[in-house]
Order: sequence, then C-alpha cells, then structure tokens
Amino acid sequence: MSRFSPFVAMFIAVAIFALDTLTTFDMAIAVLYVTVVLLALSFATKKNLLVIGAGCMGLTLLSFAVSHGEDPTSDATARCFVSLSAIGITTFLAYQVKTGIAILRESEQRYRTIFLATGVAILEMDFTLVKAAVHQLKSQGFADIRAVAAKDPSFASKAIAMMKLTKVNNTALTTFSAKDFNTLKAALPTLIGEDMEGAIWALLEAIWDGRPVYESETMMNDVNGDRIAILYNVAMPADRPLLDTVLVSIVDVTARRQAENELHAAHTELAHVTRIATLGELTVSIAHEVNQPLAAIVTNGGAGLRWLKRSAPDLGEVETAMQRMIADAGRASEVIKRLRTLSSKTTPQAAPVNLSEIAAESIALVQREITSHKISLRTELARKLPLVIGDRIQLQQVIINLILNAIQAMADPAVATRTLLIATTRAGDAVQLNVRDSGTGFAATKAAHLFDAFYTTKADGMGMGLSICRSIVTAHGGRISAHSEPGNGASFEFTIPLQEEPVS
Amino acid sequence: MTGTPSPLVFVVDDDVSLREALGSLFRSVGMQVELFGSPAEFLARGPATCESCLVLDIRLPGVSGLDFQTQLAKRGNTIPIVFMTGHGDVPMSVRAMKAGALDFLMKPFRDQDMLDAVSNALALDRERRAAESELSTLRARYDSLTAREREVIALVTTGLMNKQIAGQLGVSEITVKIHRGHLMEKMGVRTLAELVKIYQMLRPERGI
Ligand SMILES: Nc1ncnc2c1ncn2[C@@H]1O[C@H](COP(=O)(O)OP(=O)(O)OP(=O)(O)O)[C@@H](O)[C@H]1O
Ligand SMILES: [Mg+2]
Repeated sequence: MSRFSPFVAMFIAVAIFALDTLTTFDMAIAVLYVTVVLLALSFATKKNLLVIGAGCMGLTLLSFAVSHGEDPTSDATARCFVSLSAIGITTFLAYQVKTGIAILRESEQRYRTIFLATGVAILEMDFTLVKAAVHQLKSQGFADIRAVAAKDPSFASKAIAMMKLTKVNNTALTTFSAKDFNTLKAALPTLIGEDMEGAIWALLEAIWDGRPVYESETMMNDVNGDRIAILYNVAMPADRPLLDTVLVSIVDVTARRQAENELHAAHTELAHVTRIATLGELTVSIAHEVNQPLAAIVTNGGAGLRWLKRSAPDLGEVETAMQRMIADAGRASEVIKRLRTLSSKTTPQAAPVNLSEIAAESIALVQREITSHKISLRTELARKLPLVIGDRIQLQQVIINLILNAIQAMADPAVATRTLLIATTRAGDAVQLNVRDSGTGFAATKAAHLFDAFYTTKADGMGMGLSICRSIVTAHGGRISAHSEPGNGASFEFTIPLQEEPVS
Repeated sequence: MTGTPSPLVFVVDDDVSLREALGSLFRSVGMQVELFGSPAEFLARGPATCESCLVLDIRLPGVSGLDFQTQLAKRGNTIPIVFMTGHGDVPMSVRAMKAGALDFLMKPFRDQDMLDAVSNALALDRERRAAESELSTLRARYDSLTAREREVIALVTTGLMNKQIAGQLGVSEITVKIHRGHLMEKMGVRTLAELVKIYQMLRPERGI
C-alpha cells in the first residue's frame, strides 16, 4: 500500500468533483466517488472511512447544488440519488471489510506473537512434494506405506529431502542451536538421525492415511551434532490438503530426560546398596560355614576330654583332637573375616588386587550354593596374574552375581548336566574372568537387554544383578559381555584393564 | 559289653573335620566307627551285621540327607538315623522327623547330646535286631510244620473248635487233636493265646 494513496484518492476526488460540477453529461458521474472510498480502504482508519464516505456524498450534493441549484430536473435529481446511495452502500461495505480486516490482522498478530514468543519450537514446513510423492505411489497401486517400505526402503530419506522449511520461530533456533533461519534450513537433513527412520515412516503413514496430526518422541541432533530429546507434533490441517503449510511443534525434553536418567542412576545406586544388604540371603549359607567348624571344635573338645579321662588316657588321641580344634578355629575365623569384608563395604577402595584371588574368595562364599545345587565346579584360575587396581569387595560382588545367575540358570530340572567353569586369564592389556555354565542359556535377541536394570525372567528376580555388574566393571574401566546358544548354557566375561604404570 | 562285639556307628558328612572329630568321640567311649564322605560310599559298604546306627548330615553334596533317608527305607535298610542339621534347616528337620528320623542335633551340638542320641539309636537297633532274630526262629519253626499241620494251624487260630476243623478237613476229631498237639510243641507254645499271637507275627511275612 503506497503512502501516496491518500493523495491519489484526493486527486481523483477533485477530478470527479470538477467533472461533476462543470460538465452536464446525462450520467451519474458522482458514482465514480466509490473508487475514492475503495482506495481509502487501504489507508484510512475505520472512522476516517466514514468521514471520507460522508465527504464524497457532501461533494456530490455540492455539485448538484452548483449545477442544478436553480431548477433541478427530475433526471438530475435521480442521478444524484443513485450516486449518493452508491457511495453510501460502498462506504458501508468498505466499513465492514475494514472491520473484518482488523479482526483478521489482530488474530494474525496474535498468531505471530505466539509463534515468536512461545516456549515451543515451531517449524512451518511445506510438504507439498511429499504429499505428491505419496499420491503418486498410491496411484501406482501400493496398498499402504508398509508396501512402499518393503519395495523402496530409501523412500524415507527421499521424503526427508522433499520436506521444505519455510519459517521457524526463535525457540526453534534456540532448540537446535542455530544462528539463524538459513543455518537451520541448511542443516535440516543432518538433524534427523538414523534412529529417526522409524519415526519418519510413521509420519509418512500418517500422511498416507490423511491423518491431521502425528505425535511422537525421539532423539534428534542439533546443528552442532549434540543429541537432544524432543517431543513433537506434526499438524497437517485438513483445509490444506496439499500440505503446503505443515506446523511442526517441538518441545525439548533433553533436560527432563537427563533428570530421569540421573534418577535412574540414583535408583541403581540405591539398589546396589540394597543388594549388599540382601547379601543376607547368603548369610544362611555363611552361618552354615561357621557352624561347621564350630561343631567340629566342640566335638573334638569333648572327644579329647574323654580320651584324657579314660582309665588309661590316650595322649596321642588327645593331641590329634587338639590340633584339629586349632585348625577348625582358624577355619571359623577365616569365614568370619570374609563375612566382615563383605558387609563392611562403605566406599570403593582402589588397591592392587589379584583377580584370581578374588575369584577364589568369591567361590568360597557361594561354595555351599554350588554344592547344594549339585553343580560340578571347575576352576582355571591363572597362577601368575598381573595385579589390577580395583575394589576387592565390588569385584567379589560381580563374580558372586555371575555365579548366582549361573546357578539359577542350571536349577531348571530340564538341565541334564550342571557344570560351572570359572576361569581367569590375562588378555592383552587386561585381565579377564569368565563364568561359563551349562544352564538354559538365552536367545541372542535377549543379549542386549540382560544388562538393563530391572530386566529379569525370574519370578523372584529383581533384574539388578547384571546391571550392577556392568556399572562396577565400567567403573573399573573394563567391559562385560555375555554369549549364549540357547539350551547350551551361557558364558559371561569381564575384563579389567591393567594400569599404565606399574603399581608401586 | 561282655563278649558281644562293640556297637558300630556310621558317620556320613562331607566335612572331613567334623567327620573325624565324631570318629574320635565315638572311639573314645569304646564304639567302633566307620566314616564316609558321601552317601554313595556308605551304600557301597553294604549293611552292617552288628548293632549299628547312622549319623547323617542333613545337607549333603549330591543328595540331601532326607532323600537319602528315603532311599535307605526303600532298600529295606531300617538302620536308625541321627540327623545333624544346620541353622535354618527347620523345614527339612520337620520333614525328616515325619519320615521317622530318630533324633536331630543342631550344629554345633554338645558331645554328650550326640552320645545320648547315638545310644538311643543303638538301643533301638538292638531291639529291632532282637525282634528280627525272634521272628526268624519262629519262621524256622513254622517251616518245620507238615502241610496238614499248617492247615490245622490256620483254622485253629481263627477260633474254630476241633470238631469244626475235623468237619472242614474231612478227618476225625481225634486226628485234629493229634495234629494240634504236635504243632503246639513244634512252635514252642503252650496256650492257644500264644499260638495266635505268634501266628499274627508270621502272617504279614507269609502273605497268608
Ligand atoms: N547365566 C545365565 N544364563 C541364562 N540367562 C541368564 C544368565 N544370567 C542372567 N541371565 C538372564 O538375565 C536376566 C537378568 O539377570 P540379572 O542378574 O540382572 O537379574 P536376575 O538374576 O533376574 O535378578 P536378581 O539379580 O535381582 O536376582 C535374568 O533374569 C536371566 O534371564
Ligand atoms: Mg541375578
């Protein structure tokens, strides 16, 4: 709208007035004032529009008075009326249009404010090409998007290339760490990671089915390649069937996910602590371990006294009994020492440790369980294993967890032979421990989940064992992995790297 | 303990230390001992011929003490068992008790308690052996009866009169009386009541 419009309008008005006053055509020249009113639509306010309309009507009457003042013919009077009503009606309509425009502008203003200021990132996109491609595929006879995916798996990435970014708000720029619109637009294909492929297919399906919205949650990259977790909504308004204006709203939930992950980690930590407490499960077994030497001591004591009190005391027997008592007392205190190390865990202690020794200690702690489950145990503990830096108790916990899992995997009555192999070796720049059982094993598809917290297939399992194992091994800079052929047992191994510098 | 061989105690426990301590204890009071690390070793040895009992750990490698108790019973081995249990084995102990275990000793136990339990077990075994030998005497006596005498004994012990028996067997009453006199003498009894009692004891064995 040019700022000359008011002058143009005024000029036209003057011209019409002159024509109307000075000429005497048999026609309603004043009708032409409607152009002035219509022109005014573009610059005048609502109120001024009325003023201009009234002005035009005034000029019409003035011309009429000047040219036909003395003896107004009926024709001239009629023409004047026609003009007046034409101007009046036009002004009225223009006024209404003006009102409509104001409402429209206000709502657009409001939309723009929301668009710009909201905390939600909004991308205005043009999916015309995608829609056309979908349309073409439909006409080629594809029944649904699945059929397309089967035939042409690359269609998803092609579709991404067809999506055009037309407008974004500031939040969108912030969310994706983009400097300006053009940066974001150029980076668009790299923002969509490979893991979004499923989401893209789902979006395409929504387009295929003509659904007006598609919502989901995913991980995306920002312009710098950092991962962000987002919730997004793709609105495809039904009144824009060509999909030339698609609104994608995105909420960045990275911080929330992070908080959740931290919560989860805290949870794991807590479970870890509880785990140590629930090693109480083992106390029955350990009580047995202590009782055994105690019973032997008491019995040997009784026997020794009786040998002494016989009419002909047998000092040889007494001596043997006493020697056994000493040995058994040593055995009992050994068990108690182990128990104490196990329960007194506070903070992880880094010290040079020998994985073979730790394995032997761990086996001793669960020996009862192994025996009572009729499992034949084979150990191949390397004699001369280099020391690694680690927390003895934590590593014991890892090994005990692995052994308990192995025992449980072989508890199934269907398991014919129950053999457990525990081996330590040096593997390059690390020491390695392997626990292999002949239990039920697990399917390859499960392998990825075994180490997830709370993943369990046991009625009374917590699913914490392996997740704790992994966090401990990882904290030691090592790795843990599992292999199995279902029905053929499972094998778990972990490594702890050797220290760069020799331990002093 | 004069003349008779001293009683024999079998110990089955996988813990060598306790096993040997028990061995020493039993020998110190003049008993014979045989020690085994597992039930299988004990079974391989075969049943004892003299007064004996078994001291058994309720938790054993390979087979639980309870299962072993059942196995022994199935083989007809009625040797009295003294169980040793650990902490937290209460449910097992109850089961063992129901299955006829003689005694339980919670580890660690007093040596005197162990000796008492073993003495009780041995006494039971002695009684059982005595009863068994009485029974085998009776069996031998029964086997010495003639076929006719066996028919008569079966009818007499159901309470029939001589006359009725004679009628059933188709012989004279006097013949029945003679058979009856002979069989009472052969079985070593004086009264009808004694005969009935002995016959009852033999009955389940003979499947009569
Ligand atoms: N040796 C194994 N053989 C076969 N499956 C195994 C073995 N070890 C672990 N698993 C599988 O991995 C799952 C997770 O193991 P994890 O130790 O973490 O939990 P859990 O043993 O089930 O419970 P919890 O450790 O709390 O007692 C198990 O439920 C089981 O299905
Ligand atoms: Mg586990």
